[in-house]
Amino acid sequence: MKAYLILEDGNVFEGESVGADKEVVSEFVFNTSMTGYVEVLTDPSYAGQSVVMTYPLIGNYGVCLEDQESTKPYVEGFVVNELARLGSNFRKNVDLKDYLIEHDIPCIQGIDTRHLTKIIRNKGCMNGMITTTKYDDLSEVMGKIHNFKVTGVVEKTTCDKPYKVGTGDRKVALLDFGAKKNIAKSLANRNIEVTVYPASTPASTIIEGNYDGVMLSNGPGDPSENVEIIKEVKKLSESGLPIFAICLGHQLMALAHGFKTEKLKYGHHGANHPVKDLNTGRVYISTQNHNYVICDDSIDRNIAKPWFINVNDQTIEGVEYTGKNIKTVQFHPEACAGPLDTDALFDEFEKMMEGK
Amino acid sequence: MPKREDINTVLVIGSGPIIIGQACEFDYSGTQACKALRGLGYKIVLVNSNPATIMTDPETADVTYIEPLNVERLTQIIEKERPDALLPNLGGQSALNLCSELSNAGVLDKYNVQVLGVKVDAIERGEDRLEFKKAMNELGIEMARSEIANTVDEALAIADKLGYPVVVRPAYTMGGAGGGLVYNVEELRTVVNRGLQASLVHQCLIEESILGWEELELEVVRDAKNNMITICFIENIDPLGVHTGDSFCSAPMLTISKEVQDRLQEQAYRIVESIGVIGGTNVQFAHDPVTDRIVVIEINPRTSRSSALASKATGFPIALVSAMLAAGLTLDEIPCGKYGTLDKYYPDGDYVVIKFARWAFEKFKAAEDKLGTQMKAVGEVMSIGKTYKEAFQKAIRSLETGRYGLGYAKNFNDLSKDELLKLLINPTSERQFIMYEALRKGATVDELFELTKIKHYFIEQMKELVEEEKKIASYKGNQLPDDVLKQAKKDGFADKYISKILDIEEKEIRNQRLAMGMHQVWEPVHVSSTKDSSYYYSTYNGKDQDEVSNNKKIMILGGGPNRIGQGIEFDYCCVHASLALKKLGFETIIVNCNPETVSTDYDTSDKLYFEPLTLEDVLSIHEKEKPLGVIAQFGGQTPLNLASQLKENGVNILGTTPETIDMAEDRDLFNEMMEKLEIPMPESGMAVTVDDALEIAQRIGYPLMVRPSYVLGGRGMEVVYDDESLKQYMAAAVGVTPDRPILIDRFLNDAMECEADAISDGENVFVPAVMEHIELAGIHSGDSACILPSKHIPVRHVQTIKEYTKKIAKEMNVRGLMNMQYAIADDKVYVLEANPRASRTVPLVSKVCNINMVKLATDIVTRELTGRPSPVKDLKDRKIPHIGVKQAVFPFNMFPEVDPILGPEMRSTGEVLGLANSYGAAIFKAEEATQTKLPTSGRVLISVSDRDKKDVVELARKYYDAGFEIVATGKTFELINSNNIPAIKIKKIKEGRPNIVDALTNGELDMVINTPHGKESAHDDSYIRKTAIKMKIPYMTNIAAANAAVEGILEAEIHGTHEVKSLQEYHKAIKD
Repeated sequence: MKAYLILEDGNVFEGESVGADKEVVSEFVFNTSMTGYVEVLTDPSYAGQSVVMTYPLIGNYGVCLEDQESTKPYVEGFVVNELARLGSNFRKNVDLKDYLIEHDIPCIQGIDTRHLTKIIRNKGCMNGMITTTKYDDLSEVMGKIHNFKVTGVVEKTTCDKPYKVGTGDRKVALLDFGAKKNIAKSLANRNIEVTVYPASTPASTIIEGNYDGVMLSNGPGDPSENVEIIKEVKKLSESGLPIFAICLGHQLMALAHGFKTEKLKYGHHGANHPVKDLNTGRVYISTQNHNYVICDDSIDRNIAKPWFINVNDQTIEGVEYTGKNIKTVQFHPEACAGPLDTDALFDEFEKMMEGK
Repeated sequence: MPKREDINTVLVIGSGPIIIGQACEFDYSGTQACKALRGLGYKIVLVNSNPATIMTDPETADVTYIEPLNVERLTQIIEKERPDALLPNLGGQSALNLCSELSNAGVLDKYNVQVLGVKVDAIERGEDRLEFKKAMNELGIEMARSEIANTVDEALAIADKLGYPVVVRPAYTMGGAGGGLVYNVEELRTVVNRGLQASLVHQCLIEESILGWEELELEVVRDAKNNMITICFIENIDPLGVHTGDSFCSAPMLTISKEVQDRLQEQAYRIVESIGVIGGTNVQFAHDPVTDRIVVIEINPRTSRSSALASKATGFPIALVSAMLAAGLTLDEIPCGKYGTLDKYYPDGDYVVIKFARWAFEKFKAAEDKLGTQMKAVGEVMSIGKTYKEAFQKAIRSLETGRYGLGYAKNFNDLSKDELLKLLINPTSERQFIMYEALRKGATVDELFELTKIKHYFIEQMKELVEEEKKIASYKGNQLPDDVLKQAKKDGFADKYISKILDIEEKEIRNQRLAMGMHQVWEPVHVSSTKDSSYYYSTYNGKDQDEVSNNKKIMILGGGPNRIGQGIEFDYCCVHASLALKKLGFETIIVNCNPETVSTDYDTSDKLYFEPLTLEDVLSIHEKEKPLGVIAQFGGQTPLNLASQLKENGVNILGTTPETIDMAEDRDLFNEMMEKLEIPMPESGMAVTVDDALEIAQRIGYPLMVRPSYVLGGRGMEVVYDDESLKQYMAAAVGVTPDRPILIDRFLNDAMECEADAISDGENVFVPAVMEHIELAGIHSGDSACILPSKHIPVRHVQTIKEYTKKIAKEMNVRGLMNMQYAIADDKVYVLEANPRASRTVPLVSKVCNINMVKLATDIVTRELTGRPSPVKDLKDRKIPHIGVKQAVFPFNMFPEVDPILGPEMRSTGEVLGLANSYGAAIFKAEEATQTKLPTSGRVLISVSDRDKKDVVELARKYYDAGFEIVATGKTFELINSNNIPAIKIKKIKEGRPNIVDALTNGELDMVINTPHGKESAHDDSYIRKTAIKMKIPYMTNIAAANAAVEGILEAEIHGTHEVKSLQEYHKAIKD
């Protein structure tokens, strides 16, 4: 069946529908990873977004459910050049095509994703629609596409109730804003007992829980939308607990301190973003997935200072809070669908907890 | 860290002649290394015995030695040049081994030479199986379960423990020589015996079979600060069991999940760090898809075939960077456009790279087409596409096997599914083509997977192609609907292949495609450590079109994959053409598909198109770039086969016209011309049918030389002695048409063959030197040893040859290079053939005579564009005070089942050059450079055919006088003995024991002269030659070579062969 990708700038791509037969409107972002599509699909940070895979061949090794970053895929739609009809892997549970259909995710193949990526890179990330209906008059749908906004996605992706991962002497509370599974796993691997809390959990519950530290997870959407959560994060930041935050958590912490966030032109999505540790000058290759970023000039240097910056565009990638035991990073040190370079940051968190 | 200031002069060791397992990728890496180190201000001393390389050009290094690669020669060079350091990890395993030997011999310590890039003990840790295993154990990295055997008995015991099948891997060999997978005790005995011989340290590893596992390779680069980056992840699509050099590969890995790739990288980094290599390392893993076990197979602490592939696949110049790192720089100091500096490199790209090997089984009649742990490929192609299907089909048409798609290869289409499945039981060079037909006949993906263990993904992709081809075929005789054609092009179907399926003209497909606006587009491959480079691949799956410059451009067509008959020499020519064109102010474009070459290095040309050399692909580029002209005469047969078609499509072919090239191939026209010029030729004719052939035979008389037209390397060439064999030959010949008839010439018995390369502007012609073949007529010129300048040809004949050459070049209006083949019989010079193009001997002549022939030819072919005067008039004969002997190198050790004799069909893979001030010393050095040094005393076995009996007494006397003991068989013995030359009689294999094989195996013979008894003899004596090869004993298979050898031996005794002299010194001595 033919399918169409309609972008809000009026560009229309024709391809073939290979996932669920469903019309979706969403934001469109691209991802440049050459492999690791399962991890991408199941990264909750993509809630509300459709992902364009720049690498042309996707689905070659099928889907191993074990590799999922959460319990299900969160992308709204998937755009590829070629989706493998049959994937090979002994660990494979299901072919990608069937997985997408099972989870009701539309996928369009036969798209020149290099060209599409270039458009998004030039014009910035934009809204669009995947549909199997051929609209001769785009104005029918353009209003809908223009008006789309990613909202309420943290609620959609967070867990329903608290649960525990791992065992150990040290105890960490993980606030799940749409957390990748691997964050809890990385901590559990270090003999830490992790309690995962829903995003709406009041700070008091955690402060009273007698934890050694708090981890704020990644998550989707516009950080400034989460007004209530930000208030709770502020309370946590004043509790004296060691806090490490990733991605959305990093942005929420900044907002809690009165800093500002802004939307990037086309975001950072992929497994090969160089970031520089400003303390050591060392460069790491990091996995990233974010559309928003902390405004450099909004950071009050009396309260906090930049820790990491992105080598490509110099944007803020990490913040250290002066006089507080709080460190935050924009990128993903837990690194699924990406290099293992920055794993050492979890060690850093452990050190923070030791010095508590 | 900045570059090291404590060293000034660096010795770079090349890899020697092209052999299976060690091809021109080391010319590429060595040349890059020289470039990098000279760029940093070091003085480079280079040693390599292979004259056809770019690295041995006098401009590449400061001091260039074309000398044998062994400890003695290297010691002499080190003593003379006193380098501060040695860079061994860019010249393949040969250079690495040599470095290790030099160190063990104390030479490096004595002369205070530091080793760069790799520690000597690291070479041992990487190559010594036991050491490597120990190191891996310490790291906690798993290897296939295995043990070392020093004897056959030990091997048997180990195999019992592990259970059959087991893999035998000899230590310190390249291309897996001597190894193999064995299923039973008998096989094990044989293979271990062979492996122990082949191993430098007489060690074999007996290993559990991991057959069918995934074979995965990482190219890791490390610097002195322990920064590590992975350049490329390569997936061998053929699972374990097929040597990586023979394997069909993709980069990046296509069916390996992220999680596994992460684990591989983590292990690779730990290994590389512990081995301590500075520069590039290739790490090979096996992954069992069922149990998820990962084991490391081996590492190569050096640039390799895979690293050349990785460099071309990713645009990361591994050798260049490795050399810089070896000199002390670190990754964070080397700029790299996209990433800032190289420490931030991460492989990306949105394309697929496929490597496909090129084999030469057809050249070795008795050889079995079976792939295993010993590499058999003589070359490879790389292709880049947007999708796997596109890249795969591009790879097929890059191979130059006359195939443009996967279907209809050989007779596979005629076979039933069952027959096809049977052919898949053992991996062969035809596996992919057989699978394609099997799918067409209804085989399932699972069935093929069970037989081949090739992943379902790849088979399914192939099945999609089969389905698509079926759809295309349903329109047979007609044009395709636009949408079907569009999809076919996107999936990589070649115009030519579609035309074959539809049975319509290729032109029609092209016209329809162009009318639809379906053009190839070119996407760039980013080259790391450069600001911008222009390296492109084509796809039908894209839109983006790069801007095209309006500069004056010239396109050079490269030589495609290495194969026997077409090797590195043509790449040398293309590279020089590009350099010369740049100097003349042109923008240069190179089109080629061989990842091992210097011509496909990112800075050899202004623009590189990594593309198949087919009409479709070349025309597309031509249309985009609109060059002023195209040079086809430097790339060997590949571009020549295209030249006429290109011209028909409006391409301006520079230099000698395609019509002239065709005329030289047309016997009738050529004969006519020779008659007109009054130049004698052996009588000849052209035949399409058996009757034609017999008629010609009757007219000319036997023996006859028969061959197909339009081939290089004597493919299908034979000497026939009677009607019967002529009939057989004609019956077996395929693809004979009136356009492409069989050429028949009178065979000149006992004729001396010689050849001449000429530079011509159409009016003026210059012949730098005449070359004399040591082997007599009947042995392919590419296989014959050759003396330059000639030594035994009378001056008047040399004059005649030069004169004829000039006459012919003028008559044919040759503009550029020409190669002429002559024979001298009965004191008369005959023309054998004219090849109005660059030949295999161009680099040889250029280096021995110090004349850059390609540069001159490039100047000539572009005269119509530059208006420059012809350089030919100013060229003068010069006195060459030295002499060069080229000796060919053969892959017989890789094909133990093949009789290693020489004939009209070329079988050598490479060559070496011996340079000296005397002929004898030069031949001695040439033999030494092939790694079978001539003995100066000892025992020589003489066993010759009846045809050679007349010459044997004289030959035996020469060896006797040179101080050898003569050992001879049967009639040869009687003949020698009755002429008062003392000799020892030895038994042939059929005459009981002890016999020749025993004597050879026990090392009682130092040299073998054995001319084959041939067809007329009732029994086969090839075992003598095969045993000699196995035991690495020098052997001669014809009287001429044996005579030449004794001359070398005598001269070596009288004058010594100790002198080593640089090419620059030789050149300085050439006087006008």
